[in-house]
Amino acid sequence: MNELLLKRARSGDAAAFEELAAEVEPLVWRVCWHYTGQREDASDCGQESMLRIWRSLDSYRGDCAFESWVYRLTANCCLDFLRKRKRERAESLEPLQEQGFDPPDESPGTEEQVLSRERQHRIREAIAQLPEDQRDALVLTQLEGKSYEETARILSTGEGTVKSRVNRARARLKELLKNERELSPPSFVKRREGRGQR
Amino acid sequence: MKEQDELQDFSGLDQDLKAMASDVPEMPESFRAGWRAAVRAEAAKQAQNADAPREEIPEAPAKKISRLRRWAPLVSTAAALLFLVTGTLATRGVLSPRLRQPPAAESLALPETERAGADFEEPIPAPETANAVYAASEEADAVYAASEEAEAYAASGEANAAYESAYAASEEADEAYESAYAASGEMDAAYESAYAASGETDAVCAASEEAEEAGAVSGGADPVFGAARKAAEESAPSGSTAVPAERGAAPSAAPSQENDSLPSPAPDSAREDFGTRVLYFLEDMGAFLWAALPFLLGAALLVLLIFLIRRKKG
Repeated sequence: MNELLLKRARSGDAAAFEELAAEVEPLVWRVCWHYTGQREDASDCGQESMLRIWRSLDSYRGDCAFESWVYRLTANCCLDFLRKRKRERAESLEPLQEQGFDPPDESPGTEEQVLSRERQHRIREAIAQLPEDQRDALVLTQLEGKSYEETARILSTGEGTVKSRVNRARARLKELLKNERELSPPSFVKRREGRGQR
Repeated sequence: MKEQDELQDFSGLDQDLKAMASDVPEMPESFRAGWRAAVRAEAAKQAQNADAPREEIPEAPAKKISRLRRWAPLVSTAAALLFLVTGTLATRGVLSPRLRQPPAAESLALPETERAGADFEEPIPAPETANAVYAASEEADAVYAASEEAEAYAASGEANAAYESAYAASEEADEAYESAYAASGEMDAAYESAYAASGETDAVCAASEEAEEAGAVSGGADPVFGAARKAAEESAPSGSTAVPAERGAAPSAAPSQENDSLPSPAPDSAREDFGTRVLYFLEDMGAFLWAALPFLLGAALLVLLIFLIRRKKG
């Protein structure tokens, strides 16, 4: 990371920040995508993350890698975004669902595709419920495709710790998905059953 | 079987995760353009905000902040002192170990009952208010007044008896005087008879000696009479002013009289009183602080938590 660029960006130079952020831009986009799973949401969330990075540049003390700091800010921003969206959806759909309204599937496709999207959506929701350290390790190694060494550097921890966090995250994820499957079947199954009854 | 299921579950999960990882779409140009425009707009706004205060209000906020910083320690110290003093005064009767002890009330009540001579062997069962102590002291006063009256009455009785005995003694003296007078009359008669009969000196002398003896008897009655008179004079006003020796030794019963008879406090004792009060107050303050400690720790933890959350969010 260029110290001079950072200094200029801190003093309010937007062009310097653009240059600096170009290095971490793909990371921000991918993380936002992994958390939201939708293009528009990822874009909104990514913009919000970039603005937050710009506003918080003064709080970056250089005690960890810039990439790591950006990742953490982006992940927190994504979680805030998901919480907000969930709250808004609950508020807007609650009165309609009480009246028996079943929202249509927004992403049409073959049954396989629908099933896959549904499953990925559940996995994303389960990832959002993981403890912060486990979530970071899992997203970076399993979704971002980074090695344990790279992940350890980004998270400022040891490789062994990253491995153990990933294993714990997987176990917890499996547990969460299992519980959810027992409690409610996927929405497309519900819809199919509804169609069959008609 | 279970392990196989688990492995299948994990492999399924891993496949899903791999699919998700490879399923990331390319970063759209709109995203890049969007955040850059947003950052530029924000930078322009910041620049405007940074320029404007310099022209309009030069150094005013900085001065305000520095003034606040200067007063902050004083204000916080004053607030802490106010909290301590108010808390101590408010909880003094409840928390102070000194005021909570029942023997303190007993120690106030007991000496007065003892002074009154009342036979209070059992201590008063821990009076909770000063009213009980006051009532006990009034009762002791009443007992003491009664005993005083009894003593005065007894003293006046003794005086009457003395007066009567003195009166009797004076009567005896009168009788002696009359008999002496009669003897002197006899002496005169003898003298006259002697003078008239022969004029012999010896006889006259003898007669005069006899008369002198009678006069001595009469003079001997005078001291008895004087003593009786003196006794009568002494005993006559005993009902109003005489004070028995025992009572003179006993302390006064009424607290107000006792207080009046006390010498005025010396400056040293006043200084000691002030020191004791300060010590008591500090003791109460300690009790209050000790009682408030869990709440203070709770508040500190809360503040720390808020601080940490804000820091993490920031």
